[in-house]
This record gives sequence, structure tokens and C-alpha cells, in this order.
Amino acid sequence: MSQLLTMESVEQDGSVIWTVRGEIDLASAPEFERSVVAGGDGAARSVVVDLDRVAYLDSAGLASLVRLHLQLGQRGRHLKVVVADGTVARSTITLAALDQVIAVFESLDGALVA
Amino acid sequence: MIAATVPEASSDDVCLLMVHRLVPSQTLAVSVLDGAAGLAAARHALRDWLADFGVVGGTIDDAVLAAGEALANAVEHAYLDAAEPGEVQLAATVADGVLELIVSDCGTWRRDAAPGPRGRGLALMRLVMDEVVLASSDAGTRVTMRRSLEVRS
Repeated sequence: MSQLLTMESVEQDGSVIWTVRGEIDLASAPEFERSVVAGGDGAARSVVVDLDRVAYLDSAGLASLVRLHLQLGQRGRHLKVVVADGTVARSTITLAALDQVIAVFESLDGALVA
Repeated sequence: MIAATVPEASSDDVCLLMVHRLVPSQTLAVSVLDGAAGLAAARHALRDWLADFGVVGGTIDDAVLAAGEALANAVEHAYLDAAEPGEVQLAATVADGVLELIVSDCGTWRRDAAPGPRGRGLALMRLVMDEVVLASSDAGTRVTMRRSLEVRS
């Protein structure tokens, strides 16, 4: 695994929840994407990606999120992104208006009940 | 001779760091030599340098994003035909309250390159900086970006 990125996943209430720490950029985005895709093969209907602790997210990471949204959707699963207002990742997502395309939540609890 | 005045254990890096902390340098120059793997180190260097100036957090995040996107574009597209990653440079200066970031490479600008990540990256750069100017020639591509700074007093 890249030194830039650490990812942990748990299953809870029918969702796979990924907690992501570190930086998602051109170098680490492919690994981020592969991990989430591989973890979306189980019974869970929702894949939650928590980006609150991500210190950097660039356009390569945004492209990964769009592809994940499409790929998981094709398999009948929902991508939910948790990223609180005021975080670096939220800023990039909002700038790119990606919150118009993918489901973005302020909190993990909010994503799990949606 | 420099070697005679510097203790054996000191590296150039250590000396630079000490000077850096006393008086923020007016310019920062960073080279990325190892492609995408080197992007994070260049971003971190810019972040630390801006923090030394007392630049506020949101502005630092914006500048780091703009520089990161420009560097990533260069790393990804400038040396497509090369066997190994070529050099990409970041230069940052602050003058009269304006931050200027220049990202340059010696590769070939691909006007026919498909839009996508590159287009999105350029859009982000334009959103977070006051001015983004692209200049390309046979010698390479140069992206010059400027933004007014809010500095903590």
C-alpha cells in the first residue's frame, strides 16, 4: 500500500464503510479506487467512503469517485461519500460541483440512515 | 570551502531548513524527478513554505491544490513519449502580497489529449487562483498562477 494512503473497512448495517486517511492524488488514486471496488463485491448494498481525514484530494481522486459511483451503480450498489463541511476534501468536491453527482453526507450517521 | 565550516553530520538539507525557519525565503524552488511518486513531497514543501509566511489555512489549501494539479498534469502528460519521468519544476514567490506559482516542464504539450482529469484539474486551478496562464512551446509548458494573499498579522 502506498505510503500516502491508509484505508480501513468495516461492515455495519448492510454497508461497507471505508475510512480513508492520507492523500488521494495521481499516485494514490488508482489504489484507492481498486480497494473500494474490491470491497464492493459482498452482500452490502451501500459503500460508504469517509474522507473526513483526507488531507489532500485532487482531480485524479475526483475522477476515481465518479468512476466508483458509476461502477457500483451498475452493480446495484450505492456510493455514499462522508465528508464534513470545512474539510479539504469537501472543498475540492464542492469546487468541482461533484456533490451534484454523487451522494455527499456531513456525517457517517447521516450516510448510514439515508 | 563550505565543507570546512559545516560539521560532518550536517547535510545541505539541514542547513537549508535552519535558514528557512529564521527568515522565510522569498522564493521556493522544488523539482519533481520521479513522476507521480514525487508529487506529495513537492506539495508538502509548498505547504510548509506558505505556513512560514503566516498565510491562512484556506489559502494554503487552495495554493497547494492549484500547484498539485499543475504538477500532476505535467507529470502525467508532458513526458508521455519518454522512457522515464522527466523533470517538473515548481517555483513559488511572494511579492507585494501576491503569491506566484510557476510549474514548468520540458515535455510536449498535447493539444489533442482527451479532456477528463486534465480538464477538471485546469478548472480547479482557475477556481482557486486569481489568474492562470498557460504558455507552451517546443521547449515545454509553463503554467503561471497568481493569487492575492491574506497574511495573518
